[in-house]
Amino acid sequence: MTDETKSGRVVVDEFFVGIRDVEGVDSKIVEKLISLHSEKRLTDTNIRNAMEQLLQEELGNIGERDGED
Amino acid sequence: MKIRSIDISGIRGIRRSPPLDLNGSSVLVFGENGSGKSSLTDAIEWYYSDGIQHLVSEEIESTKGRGALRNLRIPDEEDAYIAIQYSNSTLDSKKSLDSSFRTSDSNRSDEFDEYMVASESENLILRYTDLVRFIIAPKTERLKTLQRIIGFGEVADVRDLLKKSAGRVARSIKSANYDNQKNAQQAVVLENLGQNAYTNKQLFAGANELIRPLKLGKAIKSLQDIQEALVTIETKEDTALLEEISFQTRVGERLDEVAGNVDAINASYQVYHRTYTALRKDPGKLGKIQLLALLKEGQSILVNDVVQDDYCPLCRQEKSKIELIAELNERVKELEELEREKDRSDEQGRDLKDALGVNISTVDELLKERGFKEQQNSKLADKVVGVRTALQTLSDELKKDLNHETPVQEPSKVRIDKAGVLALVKKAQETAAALIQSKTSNVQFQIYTKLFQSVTAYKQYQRIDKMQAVLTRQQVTFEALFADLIRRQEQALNSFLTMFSANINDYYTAMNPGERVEDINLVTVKDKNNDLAGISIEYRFFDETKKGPSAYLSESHVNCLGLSFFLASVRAFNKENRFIVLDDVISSFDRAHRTRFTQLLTGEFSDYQILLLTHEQEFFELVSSEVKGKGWLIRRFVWSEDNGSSIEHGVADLRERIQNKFRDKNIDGLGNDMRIYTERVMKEISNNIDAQVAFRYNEHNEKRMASELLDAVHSRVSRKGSGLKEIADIPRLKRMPMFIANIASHDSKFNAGVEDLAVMWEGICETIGTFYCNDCETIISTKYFDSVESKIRCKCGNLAYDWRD
Repeated sequence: MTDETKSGRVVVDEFFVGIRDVEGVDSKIVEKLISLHSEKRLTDTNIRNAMEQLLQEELGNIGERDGED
Repeated sequence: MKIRSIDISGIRGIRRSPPLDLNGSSVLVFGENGSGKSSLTDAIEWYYSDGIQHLVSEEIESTKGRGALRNLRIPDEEDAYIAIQYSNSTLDSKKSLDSSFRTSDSNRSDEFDEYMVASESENLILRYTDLVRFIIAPKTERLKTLQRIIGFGEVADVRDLLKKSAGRVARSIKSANYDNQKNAQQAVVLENLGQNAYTNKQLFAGANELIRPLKLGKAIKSLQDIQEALVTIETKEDTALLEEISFQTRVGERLDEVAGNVDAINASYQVYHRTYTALRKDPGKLGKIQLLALLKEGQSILVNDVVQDDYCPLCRQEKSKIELIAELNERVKELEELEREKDRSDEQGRDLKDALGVNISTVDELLKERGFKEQQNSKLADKVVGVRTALQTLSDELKKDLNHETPVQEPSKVRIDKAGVLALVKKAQETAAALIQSKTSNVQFQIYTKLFQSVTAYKQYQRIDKMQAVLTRQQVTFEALFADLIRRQEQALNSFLTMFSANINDYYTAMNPGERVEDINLVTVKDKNNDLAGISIEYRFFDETKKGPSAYLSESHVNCLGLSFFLASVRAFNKENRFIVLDDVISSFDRAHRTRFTQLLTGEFSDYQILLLTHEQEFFELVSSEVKGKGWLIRRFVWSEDNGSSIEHGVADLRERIQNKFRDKNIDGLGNDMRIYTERVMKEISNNIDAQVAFRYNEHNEKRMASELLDAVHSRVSRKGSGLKEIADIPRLKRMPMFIANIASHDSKFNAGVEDLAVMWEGICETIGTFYCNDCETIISTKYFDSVESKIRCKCGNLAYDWRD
């Protein structure tokens, strides 16, 4: 491929480099995805498990402050 | 990477052949039809892809063409093989195929593996039958092809993961109906606390108000304070009553959640039923959807040239393949629209099933409550089971596919009775309230119960609220990331397409200068959801923008476009290899296009090693003349009983072969070689001095005989060249036996001894030598006509003759 043409891998790598700056994203979710990508474990099952883990962590952290105004 | 040599044995038509030594040079290979020239291309294709596309159809079995690869006449113990030596010798390898069609590579290094993997995405071979594959393919297929070659599969994988994740979370949020669940919990809070509590502050305010009559002496300021207050006022003797109140409260809560979803469920079923019924009403429509796979397979068969002639492979009627593909594309488009309708129905069914599943789970969880085992609650249990049955009935209806013997039931027959569910809610709430009221005298018990129910519902509310917030954040995040990746993918693809289109345009224009096809562009096409759906080919045709080359361009122009696409692909994608194989790609071109194509190869692609194969004598001679002095090798394929097809030095080296035969006193075929040599040179001389020969069509043009050409040259020099006529002495050649012939005797043999032939060869060389300059190695030509002195010259001017009318 010529230098001017970005390969799919370059597009994906650039996407993960800039992923934190995408407007409106949740940083914890993004960090999980970056971690899965860098470990080459970015699969549907792993994403689902990671999201479930994040959900359970959040639910486990419900406390006094959650009901504050 | 360039090729140093190719050695083939036992593959297709080649039984044994000397190696094709190239040393990185381009080569022009001539072979008449049936000479087995394409065996070379087949062997190279098998070497790189482990299969041969055009042979797959000849075998039903899935050996990717290997079954037809081995030459039938090689012994079983002998392997068929192709060995390629490269400019980088560490990659040299030999690929073998034994009689059980097992393959093996001699080079097992990682470097070789990496090279082969990298070569997979490169465009190395083009056959005539592959020329228009990309051009006439449907737009979705074009997108897939390009994305695969660019390596966008990886982007598509990540994109699909993001889309799938966003969709999954969205479905989960929708089916759970968190707002409804939160409302049910707030209803319990309101019932017991006398006010809603969305925050701690509101809860604590309500709780303090509730416990005021007990004068506990401590205000509630935290959830911990509520727990402590509950412990303080708990009365052990009322445990059973408290359990029953909690049970009834939970029944009310859970069924209230279900009731809150009933309207949406009934409405969704109505929509699903409408779509389902419309699709089912026209059985033809469904049948057509089932045809889609077949038509797509047909598309693939035609585009991949499994069927090579112009006929429909199903009805076997004659039909232009390009037209057939256009028709198929149109029908596939219609059916894809139908399929989308069916997908919509399936999606509606799936969403509804998800929602029903959540509610069935809610009821199932509720039915596990111990309270249902109490005698006094048996009727309530039956009614709750009734709710579950209603939900399950609706869910079962969704299992009926469009071909089911009975259709899904009318909405009115399976509608969930919301009023009935709400009546159960009311009954449970009233029972709980009544139980609390039964202890009116016991204020402490009443307060305890209300505080306990309130704080339990409030905590549940918070949990649901949190879950909703987290999942919504997940959905928003996945959707934002998906949109960002799509944007990046489009940017990269468009930037690539701009560059790629410019190259296609350049190559096409180089082969078709001054024609009214301009600005060829590959353009991305989006579907209704704004997703990338394909790539269309646009161009300006007589100043109007058109789409779809097959509609307006002739077959040879479509082929030209295909060739331009291939060459642009080579430029864009071939990173490892600097060689390409072009096998008979110019069959539909006229002479002008062939010339310009050759110039494109020798000019724009001079940095590539080109293996150019042809069965056409005229094109062979044209290219031979064009590549002279440019380092190309000329070879030809010959067929013999012993060796099958094999490669030998070609016509361009004929002079050397003739001289070798004289040296070896081998007169086998020598006369014919001399005739062929003379014909070739005379054709070039005729061309250079504008000798007139009668018009013939291309296919006959290449069969001109030496005698006709000698006449034409003689006639021309007789009129123009004072002196040249005598020196050339063409009539001397015309008297030689090999030139006293007709077309039928082209390959006839005549009996002459080696001495006679040597005399004739001397005469031929003398005649040809009068036209040929040894200094600049060119033949005199009107191109170098000196108008001042009226002389025809060679390129350097050292050889010149008078040239006057």
